[in-house]
Amino acid sequence: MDNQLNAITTVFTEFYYWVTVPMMFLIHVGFCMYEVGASRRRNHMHTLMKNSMVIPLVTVTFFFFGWWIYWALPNGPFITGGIEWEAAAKYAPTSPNMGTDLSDRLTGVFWAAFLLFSWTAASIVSGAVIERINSAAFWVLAVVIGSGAWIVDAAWGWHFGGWMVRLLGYHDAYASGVIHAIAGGFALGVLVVLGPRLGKFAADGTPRDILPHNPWMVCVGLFLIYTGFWGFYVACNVPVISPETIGGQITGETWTATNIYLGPTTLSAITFNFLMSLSGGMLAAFVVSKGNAFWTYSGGLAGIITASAGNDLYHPLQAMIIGGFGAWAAYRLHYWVERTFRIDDAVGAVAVHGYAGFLGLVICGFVLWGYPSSPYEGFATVNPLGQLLGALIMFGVLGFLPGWITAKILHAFGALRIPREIEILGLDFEDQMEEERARAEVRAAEKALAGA
Amino acid sequence: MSERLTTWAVDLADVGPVYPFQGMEWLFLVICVAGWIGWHVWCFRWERAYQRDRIARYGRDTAAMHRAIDSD
Repeated sequence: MDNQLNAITTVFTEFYYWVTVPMMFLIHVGFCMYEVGASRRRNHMHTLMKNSMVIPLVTVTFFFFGWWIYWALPNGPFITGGIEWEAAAKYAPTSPNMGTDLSDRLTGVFWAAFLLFSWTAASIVSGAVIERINSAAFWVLAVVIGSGAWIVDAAWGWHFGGWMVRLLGYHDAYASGVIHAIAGGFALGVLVVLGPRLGKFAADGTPRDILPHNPWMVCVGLFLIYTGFWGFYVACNVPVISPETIGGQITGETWTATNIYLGPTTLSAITFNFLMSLSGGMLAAFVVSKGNAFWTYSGGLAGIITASAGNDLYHPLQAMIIGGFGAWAAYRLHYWVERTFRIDDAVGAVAVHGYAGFLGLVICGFVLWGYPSSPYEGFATVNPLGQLLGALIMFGVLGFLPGWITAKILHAFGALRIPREIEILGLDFEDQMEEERARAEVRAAEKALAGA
Repeated sequence: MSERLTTWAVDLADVGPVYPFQGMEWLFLVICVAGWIGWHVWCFRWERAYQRDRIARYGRDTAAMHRAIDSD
């Protein structure tokens, strides 16, 4: 910060990422609200704590090793090169850059922006498994996806030098795959091992509707996720950078905002496309669910998620159509999978995040076919096959498989699922009895006063 | 500037990290990682003990189970 322009650019960038962090906090608030609202009364406090403890656990582990992984593994390793020891050294937990350092004003806020994505990945899984998973087991799974699987996928496909971008032309500007498809796939892997809640399916396999204890709270939770999603979108961009700093093929001296691959875009474009894909999703979901509030809100989310891969470059009308299709497909796929495979996804997370994210990547491959995936020379252009392979890697290889394997290990130790008696009693049973006793005592005291 | 901070009478262009006990980051990391792993172990044990206790007290109490189910 040795001159005014440099100082303004640095402080603006520092502040820009910092602002996204409290905005993205709202995503977690929203997830907690809708997850607790979707749970039954006998489970809601445990459900809240299960998701809330994602915050400290993923934060500390993302500091310990998650952030280092992002900078160390863009080559695979051993696909386009080895481990990037030198580049990653700055981001190791013992590096001076990861502390109070007056010569580095950006690492902390950039780290935090990525960290909030990590919380989101874990929180998506949290909703799907409510009311029958052991909290201790879930917290291990949260670390595996929040500070492990997702950040490996970010190094591979959400890094300006990631091997998937270089070789496949993978394009996923606002994380259809790198957050949503992977988290949906991970959740599905866990659900296959965990099994459905007691009473979810009749003996003949017909699914029963386990109603949320507070539908209103569920919808407001989803509303809050929309709000936090703004921070998520903004955090995916580099706010201002010169072609010289990018050092790629862009000519001239026009500074620009870019996506994570350092490919030019504008805040204007993503504002248009965020709102149009949200709207397309809500409109379609309202129709397909026949006005169901939960699915209409979820459809808005699915709409954004489906269009996110290409929302840096789409036209808003394209974003609307893609968003509408994604919401329709997520709704249909959720019930088809539930009926066919007896998968109990309590909040539709696999559909809204996983299937919509997967489809969003594939659609992006067709709509942006031939577009540059990077400003640098030698990178593959965006193409349908690269996007399909990318979707399979995100949903299957880095999502489903780690979720399934970790759940299997936890299951082998008898640590994954709560005992049957506890599931029937409810996780909050004793607290509820205490509450009932306290209420009864106060009521009795009040009646005595009223009578006197 | 790796030594302990004692004054701000410096050119900030020459100042890097300013946190105390520089050079001992590995020690702090080992303590924190041990605390994190220990936390997970404690949680597994605590949750299992909590559940065993509840099952022992209410596991065969059909009335309690019915009351729990009816509370939704």
